[in-house]
Amino acid sequence: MHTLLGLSSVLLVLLGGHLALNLVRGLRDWSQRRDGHLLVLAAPVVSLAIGVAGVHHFAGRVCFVGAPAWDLTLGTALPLGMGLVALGGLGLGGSRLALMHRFVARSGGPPGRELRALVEHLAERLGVRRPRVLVCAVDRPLAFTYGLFRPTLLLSTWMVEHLDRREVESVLAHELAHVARRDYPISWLATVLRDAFFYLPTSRAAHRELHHDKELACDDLAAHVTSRPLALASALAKVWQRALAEPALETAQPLLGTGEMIEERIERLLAGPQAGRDVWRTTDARRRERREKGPRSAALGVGVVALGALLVVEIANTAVMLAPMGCGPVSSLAGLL
Amino acid sequence: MAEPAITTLRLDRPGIRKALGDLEAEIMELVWARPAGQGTTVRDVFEVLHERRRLAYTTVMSTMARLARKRLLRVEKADQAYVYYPRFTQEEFVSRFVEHVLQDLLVSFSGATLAGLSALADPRAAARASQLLDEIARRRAVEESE
Repeated sequence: MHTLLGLSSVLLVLLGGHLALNLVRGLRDWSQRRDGHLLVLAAPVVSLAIGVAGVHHFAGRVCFVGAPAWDLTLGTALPLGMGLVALGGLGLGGSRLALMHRFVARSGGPPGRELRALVEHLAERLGVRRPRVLVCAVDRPLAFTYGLFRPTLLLSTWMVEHLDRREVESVLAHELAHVARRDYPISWLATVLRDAFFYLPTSRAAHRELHHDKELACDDLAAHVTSRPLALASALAKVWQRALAEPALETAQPLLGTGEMIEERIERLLAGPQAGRDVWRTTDARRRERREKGPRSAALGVGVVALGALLVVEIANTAVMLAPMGCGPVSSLAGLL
Repeated sequence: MAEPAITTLRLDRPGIRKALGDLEAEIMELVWARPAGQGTTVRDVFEVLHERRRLAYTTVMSTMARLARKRLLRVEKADQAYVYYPRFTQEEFVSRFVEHVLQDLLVSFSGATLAGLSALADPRAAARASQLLDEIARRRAVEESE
C-alpha cells in the first residue's frame, strides 16, 4: 500500500533522527555536532524526494491505479502535501532574509573609528575577513550578524553607551565568531529545513540544539580570543537585566537567544574552561587540524555515508512494501532479467 | 463561582488584613483552620474570640453574616443554627484578591503599572540577574587589580 510506504518512510526518518540526535549529544567537537544536527535536519528531504519521485513513477502504473481509492488519494496527497509545506518553509526563509535586509538598510549607519578599529583587530585574531559593521540608533540592546554571502554586523547605540570597552569588545568577538563559523547561512538553512518539516519532532529538536550549540561555541571562541570571559558574562548579564525590565519585541534576540539560555551562558562563562569538554579550541588549533585531516573529511564522510544508508534503506523499504503487490523495483528488475 | 466583593485595599495592614477588616480576617482564619468540609457556627467562632477579646455574640453574628453577603462565606441552615462554609480556600482568596487589585491598578494607571509589572512578572529572574551582575563586577575588579 502506497500510503503505508509513505508513513513508514516518515517513521524511519523519525527513528533514525532520534538515534542520530542521541549520538550527537555525546560528541564534544562543535563542528561534528553541527554536522550531526544538519544531517538530522536534511534526512526528511531525502525521504520526501523519494516519496515525490515515487508518486511520479507510479502514476499511471497498473499497481497504483488498481489500488483502493483512499490509498490512491492519501498516497499522492501525503508526499505532495509534505512537498508543499517544504516549499513554504523555503518561502519563509526567503522572506526572513528580505526583512533582515530591509531593517539593516533602513536603520544601519556607519560606525565610529574606534569601533571599526576594534572589529578589524578582532577579525584578524579570528582569521576572518573584516565584515561590514553598522550601528543603528536604537535604545535597546541589539547585536547580530546576518548575511548569506557578505556578513554584516549590526550593533545598537545602546550597546555602545551602556557597556564598557571590554564588554563591547567581547560582544563583537562573539559576533565575529559567528562570522568565522559561517553560522548565519547554516542557521538559515537549518531554519528552512525545520520549517519545511515542522511537524517532525526530530527536526525541531535538531534545530533547537544546533542553535543552542552555536551560541555556546561562539561564547567560548570570544572568551578565548579576548582572554576575558568575565567581560562577556558581564555584557550578557547587563543585557539580560535590561530585557527583563522592559520586554520589547526584539531585544537583542540573536545575542540573547531564549531567556533560559542566557542564564546558562553567563554561569558557564563564570565557571571557566572545563576539563574534558572540548571547548577552548582556538582558530589556530582548528586550522592546524584542517591542514592535517583535510576539510573535516572524517565528519563529512560519515554524513555522506549516513545519508547514503538512508537512501538504501528507503529503496529497500519501497521494494519490500510494493513487491507483494507485484509492482516496484523488484518486479521491474525481474522483468529486466 | 461568584467573585468575593473586595472593595478596600489597606496597605498599612499585613496579609489578608489588606483586603478585610481585622475582625473579618480573624473569623476567616478560624473558618479556614477547620478541616475541609466541616462548617463553622457563630457559637464556635464566638467561643474562641471571646477568649481573645471581649466581643458580643451579636457582633460575631453580624460580621459573619456580612462575610456571607461579601460572598466569602456560604451559609446553610442545619436544625435551628446557621452553619458557615468558606467559598474559597485561603490560597484562592489571596490570588483572586491580588488579581483584582492588579486589574484595578492597570485600568487606572496603565502606563506606569505595566512598566513595573514586567520585572514583577519574573522576580526570580530579575533577582538572579542582579546577583550575577554583582558577582561579575566583584570578580572583574579582582581581575583588574591583579
